[in-house]
Amino acid sequence: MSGEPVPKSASCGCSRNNLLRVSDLRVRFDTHSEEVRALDTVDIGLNEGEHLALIGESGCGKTVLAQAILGLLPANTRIGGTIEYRDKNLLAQGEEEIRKIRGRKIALIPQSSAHVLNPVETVGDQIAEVLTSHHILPPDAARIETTRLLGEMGFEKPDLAYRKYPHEISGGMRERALIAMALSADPEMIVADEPTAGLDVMVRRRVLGMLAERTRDRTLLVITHDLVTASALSQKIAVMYAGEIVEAGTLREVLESPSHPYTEGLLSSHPSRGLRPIPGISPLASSLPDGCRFAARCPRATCSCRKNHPELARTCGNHEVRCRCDE
Amino acid sequence: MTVTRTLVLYISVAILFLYAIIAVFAPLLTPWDPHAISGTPLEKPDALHPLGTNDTGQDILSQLLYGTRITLLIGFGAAILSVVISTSVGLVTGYYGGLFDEIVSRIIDIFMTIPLFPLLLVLALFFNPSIWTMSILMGALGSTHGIRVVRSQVLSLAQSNFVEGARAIGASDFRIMTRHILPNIMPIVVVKFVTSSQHYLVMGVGLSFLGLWDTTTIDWGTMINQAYSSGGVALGLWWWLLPPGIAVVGISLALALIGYSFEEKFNPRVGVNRL
Repeated sequence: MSGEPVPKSASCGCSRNNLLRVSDLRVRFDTHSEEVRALDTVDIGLNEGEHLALIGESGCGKTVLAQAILGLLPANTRIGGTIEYRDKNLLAQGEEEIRKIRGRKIALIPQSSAHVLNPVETVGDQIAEVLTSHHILPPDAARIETTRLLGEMGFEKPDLAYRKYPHEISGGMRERALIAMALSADPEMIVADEPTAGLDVMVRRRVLGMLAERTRDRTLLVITHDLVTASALSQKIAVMYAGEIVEAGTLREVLESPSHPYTEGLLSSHPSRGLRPIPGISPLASSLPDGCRFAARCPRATCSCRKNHPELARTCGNHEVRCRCDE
Repeated sequence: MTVTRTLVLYISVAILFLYAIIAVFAPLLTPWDPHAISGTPLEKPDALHPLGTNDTGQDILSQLLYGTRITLLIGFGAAILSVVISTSVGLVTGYYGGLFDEIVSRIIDIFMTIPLFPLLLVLALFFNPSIWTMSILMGALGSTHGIRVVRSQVLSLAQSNFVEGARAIGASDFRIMTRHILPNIMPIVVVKFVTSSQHYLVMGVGLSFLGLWDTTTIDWGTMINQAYSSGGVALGLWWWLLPPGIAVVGISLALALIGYSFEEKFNPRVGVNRL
């Protein structure tokens, strides 16, 4: 899939026909004692129909980015920069406008399918709720449409599945139900946050196949820590570390010639490439170093790396890297 | 739930039903009009007056059966009001938080320091309320604890993943509160309803025993009051005093046991050793 040419993503990252353009996004959480810098200078552009994978380890800010796009961050958050969706800055919209976009234009496939469904409401009713709460269909029609959608998502007896409660179905089924929920209002863009977390290999393969098939004509931002998921779903990839994008480019550029030491480490820690973990742990978002945030774990770090914070710089084509260790 | 617990629940529900049937069909079940003077004063129990007559010659059994109506209405009426207030206020304050929540919580703190029964006594003395006003006052003033309980549950549910999921599909706040949070707090709301109806029922009997409203109203509290004030106790007329008392104990016990059973079912960590 990675080798196939993609029509719309051929233009460069600064293209003007972006569906979603995140510029210089900074997210801070104020806690009692400290400031948590969850995201720093994040720039992401997604053209219509383009699929971007955002990869990085736990705590690097991937989910915060998804929440920021959908306006789901808690009240004690300070947000800087812009998130433009069809040239409209989502951060400047009121709650009511954002609510009309959520689910209808940009749908989220949330993390942890086990907890994201209401335990006391049937799966079908929760999916149908997307259609009814946006007044797309009346309740009866929404029920029929949802049943049809569940059938399409590979549920053998969609009528029966509709009436199941979340605890009565398996993890793979819940994930598929969440995909159905995201698709039900026919959104332009889908943000999938760890869509295959906690699934075994066979189920994951099936869910990924289904997701790839159903998002072919849509814009997709997939958030994952798993390279398999990333390469199955997307053409472009952005690697995040400690709240920053450290490397971005096409799937081939990043996976075949990784330029950032963190990406290299991430790749070689994959079981198929030798299972060599990166030593150390990532810095706390409340006490980030002044210099390169990866310097403490980097095998190639120099004195200047620890002092000066590197900027994201273009190497060739669309390939961008936040590393100056070669200079 | 153990077998005995289930059995106790069934018996309690049966008792509750019995009281409800008596309340609804009181006119069909009573031999006399409870207000009418149907015999000579202070008759002993006989075939005509199974529980005798009171000091004005009214039939005590008829009064007992009719009294079920007012007594239950006060208890359940206050409980319904109390639960509606505590659920809605608890939902809104717990979900939105912020300044409104802070203000409501502080007001509740103040009200919770004032004991309800003496407060009602004072209010009753000053305003001479009808039993309906009294029932409303009981329900409204007694809802503070319920608000606290519901609010604390909502606080944690509002942070849960499925609420965020509902927000992510674009559901409105009202929809999230009614469709997603409310069903999750229903168990405690039901338990709260059962335990507070018992609480208010006994409180209502207590208030009417003290004669805080119209004494021509027929309810168990008034009956006990009359038995005391008209010398029924001094004369040893147990058939006058005991039946209303036993009736109160019976329904109070049934409601308490139903409440315990529900509580234990919804929260298995509650101990099993309280009958």
